[in-house]
Amino acid sequence: MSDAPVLQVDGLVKHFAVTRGLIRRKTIGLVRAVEDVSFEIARGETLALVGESGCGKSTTGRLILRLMDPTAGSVRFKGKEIADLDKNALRRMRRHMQIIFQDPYASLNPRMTVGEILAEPLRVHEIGDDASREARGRELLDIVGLLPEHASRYPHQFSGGQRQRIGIARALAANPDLIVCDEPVSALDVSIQAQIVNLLQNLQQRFGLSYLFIAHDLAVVKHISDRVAVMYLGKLVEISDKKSLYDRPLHPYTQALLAAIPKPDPALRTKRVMLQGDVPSPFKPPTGCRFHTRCPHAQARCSAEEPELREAAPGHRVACHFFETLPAPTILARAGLANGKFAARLAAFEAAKTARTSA
Amino acid sequence: MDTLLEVRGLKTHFATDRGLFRAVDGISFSVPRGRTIGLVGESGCGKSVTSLSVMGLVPSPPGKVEAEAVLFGNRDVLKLTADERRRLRGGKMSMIFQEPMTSLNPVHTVGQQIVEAILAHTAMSPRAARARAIEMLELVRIPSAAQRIDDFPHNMSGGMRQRVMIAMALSCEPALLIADEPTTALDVTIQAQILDLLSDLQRRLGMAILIITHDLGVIAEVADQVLVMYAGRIVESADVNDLFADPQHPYTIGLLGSIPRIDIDRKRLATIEGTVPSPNNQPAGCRFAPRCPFADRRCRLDPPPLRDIAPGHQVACWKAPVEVTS
Repeated sequence: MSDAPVLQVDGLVKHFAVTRGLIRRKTIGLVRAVEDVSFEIARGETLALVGESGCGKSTTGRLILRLMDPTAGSVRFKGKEIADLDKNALRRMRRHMQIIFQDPYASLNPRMTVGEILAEPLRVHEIGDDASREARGRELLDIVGLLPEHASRYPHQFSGGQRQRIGIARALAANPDLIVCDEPVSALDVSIQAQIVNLLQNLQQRFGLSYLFIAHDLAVVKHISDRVAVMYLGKLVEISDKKSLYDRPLHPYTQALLAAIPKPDPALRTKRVMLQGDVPSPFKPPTGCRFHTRCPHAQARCSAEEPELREAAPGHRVACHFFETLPAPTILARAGLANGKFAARLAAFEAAKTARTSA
Repeated sequence: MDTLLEVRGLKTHFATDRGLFRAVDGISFSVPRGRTIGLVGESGCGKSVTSLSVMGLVPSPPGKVEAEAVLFGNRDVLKLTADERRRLRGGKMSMIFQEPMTSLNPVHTVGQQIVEAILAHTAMSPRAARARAIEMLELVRIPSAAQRIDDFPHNMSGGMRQRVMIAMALSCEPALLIADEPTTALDVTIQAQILDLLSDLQRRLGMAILIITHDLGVIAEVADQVLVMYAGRIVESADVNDLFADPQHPYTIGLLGSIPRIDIDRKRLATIEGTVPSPNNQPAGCRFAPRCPFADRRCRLDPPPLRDIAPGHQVACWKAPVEVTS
């Protein structure tokens, strides 16, 4: 069944107990990190999970890999419920679901050579022998744009972008179906970030990978994703295919996130409607719609009644009582820079680069 | 225009075990009164060391700051005594940093820290200084400032802490505020609040801002004039509108092309191949030559000087403008 989703997440919940007392621990409350999150990812598809610090996006990623156990809900990977798996079955399953982290340095063992780092997942999953693992390591380095001789070096001998390539190679080692990318480019410089985003796109086409792309940056997400899910304080507030979300964002929070991105075009400098205040604590989330304390359109009903995700268009669902009647946002002014001198120079830059590589 | 800060031929080097580390290698620029200058570049380009050099915060040894002149007002700050320098810093010349948690002292209330800055630079009484601190917290739009003044930094969110840092930096009415990646550690909705606050305060108080960032989006939002740095040198200098509409240096062009944008639909991002050269092993000619698709023999041998290419627009590239030669 090639049409079945690779991943189905249904009603996922994670609460962390907050305790007080050193000897006699007493639970004094719950941090509701993830509340009733549902989505699915098809084969070869990228779903982006977007939100600000503390919205629960990384926790969701970890629950999917069962790096922590959910409080409630179901995660099915290729049709199988991962909560039911015992330790051995889980390990076998993990071969097919991998993760790339934000900080490529902290996630690579500094005492292992790159060759050892790449062979380890194969060793853990008992794939091949030493010689074939070494060969696979060299192949992986080539796939991610590094050189075979890099296998004998240590992580500290690489730049941030190269380390992220090593992290990607390690994730690819055992031929996974799904890779959870947890802020994979947030720590990188812009020019390096673009290299990694393009690499992830190439690999997806080549190997038919599915990505859960966790990020806070809606601009990066626009480049890499097929569908986008926006989280706020542990809840999904909007989920949609990419085009629909960027053309017509419906939730006031999504609109605010898009408006807040600094646009690299001084001609678009305008006085914007900004979100006031900070994200409330997930320890005591607001009643009703969790966004109502910062929402410019909030009404009495918003603080009393929690909105359900409702279908606004095919494949576009939004959790807002009033999305039908909200004024359309004026945030997506098209840049004048798409034409003109900058575009001509960028074309010259790309052409010169192509000429160099083919020469 | 009335020049507030003029930096001429600034070189900041660090002596290391592996040789001389040329973090900043001969840069010149000026900051007019009341304007915002953006200094943009990627990690390791020397933009933060530039600001620390101007502030007099480079530890020596191992650092060594040399320049023809660093004129602030009419005084060369490199010729000041340590004591005069200290009085200037936090007074007429002030700075905010990327990480507001590590720049605040965790064991004192935010009020004590702002009051300390005010008392160090003015003749105010402690009571007046506290009133001034509350006024500053209100100015940076901290709600119920009279209560929050007695909070400790850990009671505040990242955005609030950055507001406190701004309040402290502005408490002695500086003529120049240096902001080193002031919003990089913040969420995007909070970043928008802080950038708006900085622009608003500049309009009201009239200080000049030197903003240092890797984010060209932030530059486009706040800067009047932009300096692009690469590997310790300024490669392009222009009015903000010209820089984005008419970028000249291949590095600037590549950098602008590699930004993911929500306002333009593109299949692929442009990339700049390779990585920044190591500061103790710089190429002999143009430092961008190893990564530049236009580079030829001359670029590799001969460092290009910063030259005028249009009024108020300078570029350090032998090949610019590139569409003519390609």
